[in-house]
Amino acid sequence: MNELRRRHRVLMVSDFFYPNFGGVENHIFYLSQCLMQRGHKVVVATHAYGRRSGVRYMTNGLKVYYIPWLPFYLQTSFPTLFGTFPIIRTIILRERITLVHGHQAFSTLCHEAIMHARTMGYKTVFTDHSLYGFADIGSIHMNKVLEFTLADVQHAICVSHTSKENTHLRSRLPPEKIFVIPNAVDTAMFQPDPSSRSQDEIVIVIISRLVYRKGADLLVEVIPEVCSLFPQVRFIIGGDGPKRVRLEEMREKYHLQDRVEMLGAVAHADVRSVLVRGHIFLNSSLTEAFCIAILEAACCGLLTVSTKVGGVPEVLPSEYIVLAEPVPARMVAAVAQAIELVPNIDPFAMHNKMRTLYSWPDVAQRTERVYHHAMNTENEDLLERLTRYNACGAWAGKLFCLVVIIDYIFWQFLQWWQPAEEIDIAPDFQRHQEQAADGTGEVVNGSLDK
Amino acid sequence: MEVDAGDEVEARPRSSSGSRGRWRKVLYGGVQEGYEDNYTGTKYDEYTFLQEMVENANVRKRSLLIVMRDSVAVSQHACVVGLVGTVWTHALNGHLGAWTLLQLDAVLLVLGFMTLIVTNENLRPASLGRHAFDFTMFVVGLYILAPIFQTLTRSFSSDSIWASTICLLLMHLVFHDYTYTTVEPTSIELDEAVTNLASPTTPRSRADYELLLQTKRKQRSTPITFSANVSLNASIIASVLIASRLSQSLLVFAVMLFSLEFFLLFPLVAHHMRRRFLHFHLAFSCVLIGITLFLIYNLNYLVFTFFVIVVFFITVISPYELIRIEKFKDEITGPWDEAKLSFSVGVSLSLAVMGSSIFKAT
Repeated sequence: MNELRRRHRVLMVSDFFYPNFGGVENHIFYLSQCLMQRGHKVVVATHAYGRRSGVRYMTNGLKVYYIPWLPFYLQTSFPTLFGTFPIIRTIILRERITLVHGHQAFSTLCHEAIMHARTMGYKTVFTDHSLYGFADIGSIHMNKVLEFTLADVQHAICVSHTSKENTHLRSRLPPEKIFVIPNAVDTAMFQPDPSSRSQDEIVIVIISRLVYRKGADLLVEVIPEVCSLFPQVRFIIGGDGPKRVRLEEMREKYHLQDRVEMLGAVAHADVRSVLVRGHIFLNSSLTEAFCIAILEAACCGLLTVSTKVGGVPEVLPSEYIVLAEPVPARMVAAVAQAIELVPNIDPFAMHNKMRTLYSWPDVAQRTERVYHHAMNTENEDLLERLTRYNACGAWAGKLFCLVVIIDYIFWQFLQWWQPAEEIDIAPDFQRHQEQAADGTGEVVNGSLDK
Repeated sequence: MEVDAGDEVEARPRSSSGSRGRWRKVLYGGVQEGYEDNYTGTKYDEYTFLQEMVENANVRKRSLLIVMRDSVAVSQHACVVGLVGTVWTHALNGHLGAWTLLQLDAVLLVLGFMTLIVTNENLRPASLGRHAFDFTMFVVGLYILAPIFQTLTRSFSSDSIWASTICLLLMHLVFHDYTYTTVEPTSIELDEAVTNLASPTTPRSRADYELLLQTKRKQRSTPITFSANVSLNASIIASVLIASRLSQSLLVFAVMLFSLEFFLLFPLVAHHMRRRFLHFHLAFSCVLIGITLFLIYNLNYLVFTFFVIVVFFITVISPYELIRIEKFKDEITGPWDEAKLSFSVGVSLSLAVMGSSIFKAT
């Protein structure tokens, strides 16, 4: 029981954090908030976003280090292997971190931080938020990098069972070291509102970036078919992207201007107001580790029609979702089925059910257990770690070992150059310490510091 | 939510609760009663770990004979290059007169066009006339330009010209689009694409399918790739370089015409011949390879030996090696893969249909 009350001091590392917006950013923020309410200390490290550089405090004193490090491609920081070591070490020592938690496989900062933390002897946990293939050159490279990082983490967390299989195959991490903890949704933010629905027609809402991977091309085929089959159906499309032109072309070609409303990009704060106008939510993604969008839609009481890809089938109970293969004809059939089911759906009952199924405090509690497990693993010396790296491949293994050895030497140099005793300890943010003692907080719904 | 603190991480269910339900592969509802989050589905559960993983789903078993048959197209093209090279050498040595070569050009040209007419069902009289006109203009242009080609590289030494020619020919061989002769869309693939487009409720007209099908065939059968262009250009530059070393401008014209017939027109003829009469194409290729080897044999033993080795390597060793290493193939597919759309994405249906009708009109 003593262990259960144990407080961790966690450093969340990822290239993806606010003001950037997406599933990973949300996950880190809500997880951090709930962990803080459970009495842990959480610090976030990410790279600088434009002029947003240095240290910031967010809701409830969540401390964020924006490391002045240039992003070079899709918001990932430039990979230097050792360049981030001094600052990561300083942050870890200043904040008296006990555990480093990295997020997202294509965040270079996360990989580097995990490697440095392991060199310094800290326990590490890694969360994988997306799925990768095995065939193209990009994936082959990413998978090797992941294998390197995961060779030495204590535990990995995946957001769905499919993602767990994927991560296991990509990194050869034993399945029992991989935990499945889904994302959640802030149910209070997504209340249903049937009064804003239109009574005499059925509105299908689509909110997604209009890109190939989100299946925008599938929508181009599906929407005209559905419109011609069901005269009472209207579409609302929220989102922007390169495929928007194709959708607009489709709308003009089939004269659907009055039946397909295109809103353009929708800010996350406005998503609910768009969702509650609809009866059915349509998700056309071609790949998805865990689909937050359908969770938000279900929370607003919408019946979901989705492609049967990745982790999507695991997300919702079967009575709230109609799944179909990503083929236009099947999708049209699924929409038809959903239109039949809609009158039987009670949005409030659905919302209340969703409240019991997903919550951030639950996610935080489960993540905390992973931390406990990670802290209970044995400490290993450099040689034991090297054997594991060496097992990663005939050539890659040697290369990995070399990188780790250099990192170790660099660490020794840093310890001589800037001894730990000379680094000032940062005082903790005091406000919620006493409240956190009971360990059962609610999701903090505070405004985001934008 | 009791968890023993000092507990090792175990992939088996927690022993604390006796009444645990079946483990399900779902994410909702928090921790499943009686199971840890790192629980991995076993064969006693509804879902076994990696149950949906499929290995080597898209791997086609190749038959050695078919691979060898298809590889003939590659060795055939290597021989085409050898043949043109032989003619060049004879022309440069003065063993081949301009008129002889011109007569040969004319015969080959007529044969080539006749083969095209017989094999290509899409070729109509009107378009044939247009092709003939285009080609005449092309030949006239070549004739006018011949004197310029003749003096183009006068200030260079023959060695550097031969060296760069050989380099260009190798480049031509490397980048040549061999699939143009060999690969054709299987009808199953196309049918699948069309069925997937079809909706169960409002089928599009049969004519639409036909048009789409044709468009798809067109897209597949006339691919214009960057490397194919590089290859063609390399061969033409090589021809110009060689032609520039010749003594009289009529011979320059004859040699250029001969090279272009083989580099530009021959792949087209071979493509249609193969699509229509596969066995005839095979026999023709073998004869062509035989002729080339015979000509090279009379020219130089060393080059002959080299060519025999190349042909043997392409048609026997490479297919055998390909079949042999196929068993090491380990392709993994599963639910985590990005779904592939089964219809054309870049071009919408309307555009495809429009494009095909334009093609028909010409």
